[in-house]
This record gives sequence, C-alpha cells and structure tokens, in this order.
Amino acid sequence: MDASLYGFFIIVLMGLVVYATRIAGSELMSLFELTPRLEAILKAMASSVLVAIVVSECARGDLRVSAAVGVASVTMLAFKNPLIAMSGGLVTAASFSFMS
Amino acid sequence: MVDSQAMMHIITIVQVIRISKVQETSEVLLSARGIRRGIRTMFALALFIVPYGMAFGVAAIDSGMSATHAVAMSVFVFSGAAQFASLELWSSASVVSLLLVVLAVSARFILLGASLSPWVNRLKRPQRLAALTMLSDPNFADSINAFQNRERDIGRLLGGGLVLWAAWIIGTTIGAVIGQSFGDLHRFGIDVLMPSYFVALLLAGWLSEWEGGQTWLPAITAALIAIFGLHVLPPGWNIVGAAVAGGVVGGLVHGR
Repeated sequence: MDASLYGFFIIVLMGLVVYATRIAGSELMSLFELTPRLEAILKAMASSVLVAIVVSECARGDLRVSAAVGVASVTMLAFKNPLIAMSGGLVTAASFSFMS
Repeated sequence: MVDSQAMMHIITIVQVIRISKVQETSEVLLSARGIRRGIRTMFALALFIVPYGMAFGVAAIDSGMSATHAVAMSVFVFSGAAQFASLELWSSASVVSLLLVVLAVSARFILLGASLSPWVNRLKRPQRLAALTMLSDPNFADSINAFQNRERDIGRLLGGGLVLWAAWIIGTTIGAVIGQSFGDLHRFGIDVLMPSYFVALLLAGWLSEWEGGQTWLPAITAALIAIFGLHVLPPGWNIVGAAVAGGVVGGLVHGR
C-alpha cells in the first residue's frame, strides 16, 4: 500500500473518516433541544468515556499498568495536580520495567 | 396585598436568576486569548506526547511505512488510537477494512463531541467545525472539566489540541527518522501516560462536583461494560458501549 501517492490518498481518507467522527457528535446534538435530562446524559457519558478508557487499559495491561493508575490516583488526591499525578504513574511504570 | 407584593418580588428574583443564567451560558466564544490559554494548559502534557509520537514513528517504520507517510499520517489523522490500529492493516490490500477499523476506534469521538455540544454548539457552525478539528482525548478531558467550571472560551479546546498536535507531529518525525536507536519506549512508561492523566482528571472532576448516584452509578456501569466488552466486542467498541451505557444510567438517575 506504500506506493507513495496512493499511500497519501489513503492517509487523507483516514483523516476524513476521523474528522467526520470529531464533528458528528456536535452535528447530531444540534438537532436536539438541550433539556436538563439530556444534559445529565451527556455529562454522565463524558466521564464514562474516560472511565472506560482507564479501566480497559488496566484490564488489558498487566499489574504494572494498574499499579501506575493506582499511584496516579493517590498522587492526584494528595497534590490535586494532574501533571504530578501523571508523572507519578509514569515513574511507577518505568520502575516496574527497570526492576524486571 | 402584602402577599401579592411578596409574590412580585419572588417573580422578579426568579426572572433575574433566569436572565443571568441565560447570559452565563450564552457567552460562549472562540478567541485568541482562549487558544493561548489552551496552549498553556496543555503545554506540559504535550511534552509527554512527544515520546508517545516517537513510539508511533518507530512502530510505523517497523510496519514498513515510509517516514514521509508516517509524518503525513500524524498531520492529517492526529489520533494515536486510529494510527496505531491502522498499522496492522497498512501493508494489507484492503482499504475498506482499514477505514472501517479507523472508524471503529474513532467512534468514541462522536460521543466526546456530543458531550461538548452544550458549549461548542453555541458557536457559529464554521467556528464549531474548526474548533473540533483538534478534538482529542486529552484536550477533551481538560476542556470538559474547564467548561463545567465556567470556562466559556472554546479556544481552550482548540489551543490545547493545537499544541498536542504539534507535539504529536514532532514526536512522529523524531521516531520515524532516528527512533530505532531509542529501543522500546514502553519501558519508560509511555503506555500508562494517558490512563494516568485521565484518572487524575476524573478525580479532579469528582472532587469539585460529586453528585452521589448521579456520579458513581454511571461510572460503575461504564467500568463493568468496558471490562466485559473488552473480550466480546471488536477493538474500541467496548469504550463506545461503556460510554453509551454510562450516559443512559446518568439519564435514568437524573432527578431522582
């Protein structure tokens, strides 16, 4: 597939597909009136996406991933800063790799 | 007489509250200042995205892609999930299945866009379509927290996306050109970057506004569906299923 021009064509098609998904939700919602219940649904959905990503990364990965996410959570509760929390997770995962 | 006066007062107060509420929500804008704020907020995270982009650059070369194509993909597609998934099919002949896989792993963007719609949809359509070009998981996670805490500038989303995009392209370029000499980047913990960041932002959101069952019931539902779906659904669809289920539960619990 890597014959140069054809490859670019595929890449642009991929970009269009992803862009379509980026705008589709907002376009779709412009057809509905925003009621308090709908707002509650969207709010729950927003955090559910993130919960789902985190949980499936943990379930798919080994102990190392879950430990990193655990340390990130505790660090977040302690320092209230997402970047410090992320660094905590990163350091945990890296230490696992270097110890094994 | 006194009663009707009191009634009038109450009506006036209610009207003032309603007007101020309308003003508060209608002030959504897209400004250069907001874009700068987004860039500043996401800048530190973007530094971590560089090695993530490098990991993609290395993987792309390993899958037989040219460096130019790898970088072009990061420019035009700008989605870690979609790009990594496409690598497995890149050297196969089926464009349709490649695009279907890209659609499947990107389907969650539809839900992210819908979740942002209470704010984003108050912009004019061309502005909205421009701001959403840079929608990705990290700047979504940052913006949705910010919007729920009275941020009204969609530039926060766009600017955050722009700096992540730049970092992603820079990382891909480094990885594709000289990445082979770095070895396996996952040993530095690159793969736990996003889940660690998301769990932190989730906690930040819950700490600032915990709504009891309205908060934890959708979260538990989403977690269970995500784990269950991981084994029975095609890649990416467990996230979509979990998010939709979480949303439905949120809607059912609402007002009880």
